[in-house]
Amino acid sequence: MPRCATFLMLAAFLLARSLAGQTQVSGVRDLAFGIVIAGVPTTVAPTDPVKSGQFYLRYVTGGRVRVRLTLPTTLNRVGGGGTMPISFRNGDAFILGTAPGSVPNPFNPGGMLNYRFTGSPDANLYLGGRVTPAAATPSGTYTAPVILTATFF
Amino acid sequence: MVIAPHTVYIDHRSRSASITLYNPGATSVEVAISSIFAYPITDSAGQFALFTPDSLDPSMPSAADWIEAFPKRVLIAPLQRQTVRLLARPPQGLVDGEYWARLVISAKGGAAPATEADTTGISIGLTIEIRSIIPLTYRKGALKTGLSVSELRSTPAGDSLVVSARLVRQGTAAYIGTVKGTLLNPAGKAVAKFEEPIAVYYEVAPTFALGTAGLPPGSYRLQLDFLSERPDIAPELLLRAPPVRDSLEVRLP
Repeated sequence: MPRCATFLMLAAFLLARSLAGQTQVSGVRDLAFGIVIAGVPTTVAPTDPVKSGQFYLRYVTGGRVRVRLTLPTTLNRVGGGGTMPISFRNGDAFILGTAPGSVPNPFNPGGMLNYRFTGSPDANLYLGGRVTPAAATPSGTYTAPVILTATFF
Repeated sequence: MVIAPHTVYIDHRSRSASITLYNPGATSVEVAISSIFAYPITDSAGQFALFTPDSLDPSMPSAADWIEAFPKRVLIAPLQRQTVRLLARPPQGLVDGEYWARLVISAKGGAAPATEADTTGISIGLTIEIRSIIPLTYRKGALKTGLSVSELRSTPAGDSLVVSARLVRQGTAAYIGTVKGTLLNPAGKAVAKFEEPIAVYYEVAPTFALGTAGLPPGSYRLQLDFLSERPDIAPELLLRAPPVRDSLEVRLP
């Protein structure tokens, strides 16, 4: 067997060992609304490959995780002086395993999701949403926290 | 945030353990570690949830109040790791047994970059906080565990078989192991399988899904095996228990 193939097999083995007993939840991509115009609602679909929010989760194959998203209803203007409604509807989030043949598992981001890592130890969670700025929305930066809680069983 | 290990065990003799946190991202994260008392239960649909009592009863085997993390808060730079020591300060006279907590590891990134304001003057930037909740087990003295299985049921649902069972832990410690489900055809050949980790602290009634796509209608035998082993947890940390098997005749439509 060529030496490089042996090295790659060893590296894969060591990587698998190092990943066996850990969890990972990471933000991959922020939910980005792009250009927002006062008075014009802006929607981002969870399937949007650029603007949707993306989280990466890793556990063990067959393991279960319960995911809860704590989402804002209002964005606050930095420095005060304004707010902007933000909303999330049923189907604005889905989770997708990385194993071949995995199918999206849509859910209401306002509720809980119980997910079983099937066929692979990792998955990606995608989040969409919409903002509805009023016509008189003052210019500025609007922000609010999004909390993702992952309970591993 | 990467957290290793995903299950923490502390022995009364050493009273300490550690976890490693790794920030795989491109920005620093502020991490806070705390502990709560909670244990897994199942809801009416067989889904796992955490039971977190409003107040602690003295009979509850909580370690949450006497587990301390050092440091409790830390800023982890991109691609850097941090070891967090967990020290236990159990009360005097702690009786032999197993005590539980859940570590809550909160990671806050910096404010997400606001989207371009462009000419409209409006930009949006959400801040992200990720909370990972993992189990912690503190053990004192000789402990035993086991499992009893009852009320094994199955229901065909589309191209799956939904399997449920009532699992009650035996002995003095939580049952941590693996459940292996097998569907056998009349010739005794395995035609479908599933395998998943299982944790029974008191009693749960989980549901499992077994893929049956492409299987011809007819009679099969569903077999569940519970083993006190986990490929993702070091064997010396697991309490051994006799294997448990239950089975059921099922009919696929």
